[in-house]
Amino acid sequence: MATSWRQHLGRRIGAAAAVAVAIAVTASVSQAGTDGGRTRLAPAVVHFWSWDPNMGSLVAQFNKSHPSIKVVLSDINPEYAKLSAAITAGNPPDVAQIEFQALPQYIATGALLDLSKDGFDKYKSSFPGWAWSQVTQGGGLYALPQDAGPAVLFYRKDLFAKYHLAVPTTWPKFAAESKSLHAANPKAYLADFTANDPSWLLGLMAQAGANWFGISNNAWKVSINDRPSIKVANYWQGLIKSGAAKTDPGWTAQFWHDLTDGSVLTWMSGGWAADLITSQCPSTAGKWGVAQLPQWGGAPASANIGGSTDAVFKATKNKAAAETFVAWLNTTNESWKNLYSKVHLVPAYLPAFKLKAVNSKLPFFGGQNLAPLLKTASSRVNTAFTWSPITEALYTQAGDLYGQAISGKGTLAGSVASLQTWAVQTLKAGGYPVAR
Amino acid sequence: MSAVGTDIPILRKRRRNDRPGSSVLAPLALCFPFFAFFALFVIVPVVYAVVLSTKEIHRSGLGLAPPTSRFVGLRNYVTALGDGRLGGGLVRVLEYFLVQSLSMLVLATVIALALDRTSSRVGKAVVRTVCFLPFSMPLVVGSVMWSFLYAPDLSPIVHAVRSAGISGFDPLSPHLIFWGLTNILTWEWTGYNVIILVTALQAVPPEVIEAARMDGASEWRLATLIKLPLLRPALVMATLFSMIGVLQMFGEPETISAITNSISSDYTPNMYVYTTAFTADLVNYASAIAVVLAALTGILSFVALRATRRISAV
Repeated sequence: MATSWRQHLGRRIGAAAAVAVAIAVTASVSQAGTDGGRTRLAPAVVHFWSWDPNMGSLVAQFNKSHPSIKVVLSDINPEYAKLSAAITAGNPPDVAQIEFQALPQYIATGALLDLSKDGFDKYKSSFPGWAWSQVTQGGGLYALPQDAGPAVLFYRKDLFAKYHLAVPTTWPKFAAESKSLHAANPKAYLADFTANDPSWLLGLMAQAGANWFGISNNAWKVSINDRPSIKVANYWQGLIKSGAAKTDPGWTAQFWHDLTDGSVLTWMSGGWAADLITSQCPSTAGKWGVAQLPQWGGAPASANIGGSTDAVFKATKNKAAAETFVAWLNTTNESWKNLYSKVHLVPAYLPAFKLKAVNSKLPFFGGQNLAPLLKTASSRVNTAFTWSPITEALYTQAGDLYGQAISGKGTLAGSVASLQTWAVQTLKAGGYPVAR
Repeated sequence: MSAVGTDIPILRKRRRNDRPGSSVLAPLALCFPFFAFFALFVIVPVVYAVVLSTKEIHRSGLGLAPPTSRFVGLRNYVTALGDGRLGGGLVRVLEYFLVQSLSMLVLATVIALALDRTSSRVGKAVVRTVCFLPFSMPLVVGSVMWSFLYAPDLSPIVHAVRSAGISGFDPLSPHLIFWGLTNILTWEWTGYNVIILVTALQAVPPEVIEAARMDGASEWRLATLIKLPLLRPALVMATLFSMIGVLQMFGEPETISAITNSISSDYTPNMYVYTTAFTADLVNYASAIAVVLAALTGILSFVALRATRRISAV
């Protein structure tokens, strides 16, 4: 009986499969490693997802000083879409970097580990009140604050001197200077209203006292069109209408060009923006100064824009190792020396502000040491400020509405009102309980 | 009489291999990879999307436990069909079809006919490469390149227009963004259509052209009365592809939206699906919108093909 080609092929495949299995089994056994006859345990692997490009050096530093733990870094940008899919699929990483504004969304997936049960509450006094309140919800602690974004005013010192402008300490002074600058030079603007970056405007509204979300009786409260938000919306509407504020989208080549060639003289943003200006506007080295934000009056206030945390996932197989890494990364000076100098993050960890590395005089900013300024701004952030689980969608919707308002279809105050209705609808559509 | 069979060995061989089943297996096995990938990457996701679209997320309390999904039947579809943002996006892409696709096809036809007329090999190769180069570039790369060409202070084009004294030229402004995007789409897709039409023109039998020339037809009459009618099937196909492509427009407006305030996150239906699914995390509703868009594309294609049956061989 002649065997057909199919039977030949079948036998060959079977043989190959057997060899492959044998190799795989041998490989997995030998991975444990042998050391002169003894087998040593493999280091506990911790998968860490982040988007900061220089985080690798911190991971290498940790792995070197902690030989029993091996952190594997995945540089993923944008991270959230992949993280959400991984959580739904049931295979999230062990640790992930999550911004403050996105944390409630991930707390609501039920996938984050409550760190208060493992003694992490001891770190509370090392962080500013607003940062600790934004990583806790309902008595549980779901992440450790990593870096912060205390909002300050970056301004072109040289051009302020050229146009005889004083650093504006109040918002009415800011508006007056915007108008006089634009009148003196129609091509120059004091500020650019970046409609495509709603986190910027929300930061300014928060500085005025806005707090869009809250939790009461196990339900979400929405108060987007509160008085401070309307006040700030009307303020910028006035500046845009009088032509004293530019309306170019932010974070684009055009935007950096504006900051470089003097079309726009200031940028109000989180402390991390110092590094961005340094890299995107290199020809303006030495020409910048940094000051606190203009004030509305009353107690001095600032806001936090951006900043991230590190969370551990319930599904982790190496909980102790993951927690050790998160604690080391965020609450040790040896980590913060490099987080500041290599990854250019502003510490949320308050003791890090005493480090010499963090207090360096930056030549790009005319030899100014930004640390005391940033620490003060961070201490002036509203501790009651709360994020919702729909921040990403909220920013997209706000960007659409602000963009339309700038193009003349409606006003910024109207956008804020529409946003209120939209947020209530979207929370309900996502299954979240909304308080009346 | 057995002599019949032995006299015609070829016929006999053919009859033996005509047994059903024996010669079908080989082609099927060779096509199997395609069917496998088609099932895995087209059919399975579509079925999954349809299943997702019939569900909804349910959370208890503030949601510290994982959310569950429950069956809600066609509720997402009812919402989608009443959603003004989806309707607005559909109207917009149809506008793009009527203006951009049709004008692009006219341009592609003119270029294809001109290419056919050219006898210079070098000239033909150059025009073909220039036409096809934008299409061979990844869509996002092309859009990013155009985003620099539209940036008010960085673009040489805007600078040239301003120097010529024309004010108010900003392709990213709300009243010009339609033309800005139309320009990018035409730049990207004309070459693709030129290649389709040039290939179709090459299938025109040379005897027909010769006969027409002998009858004294001018180049213009040759193009309009001979070549164009013979191009009809290819033109119908190209128009259909353009319509399907425009209905699903995503990459170009999404890339450009980063540098302008004039493009919202729901500018086209596909952008709305993307935003709803990955930014708003409403995967079930996004699936419903996607299925509605796919169904609409299918219906329009069917109607279009039916309507042009008489004038095309398809």
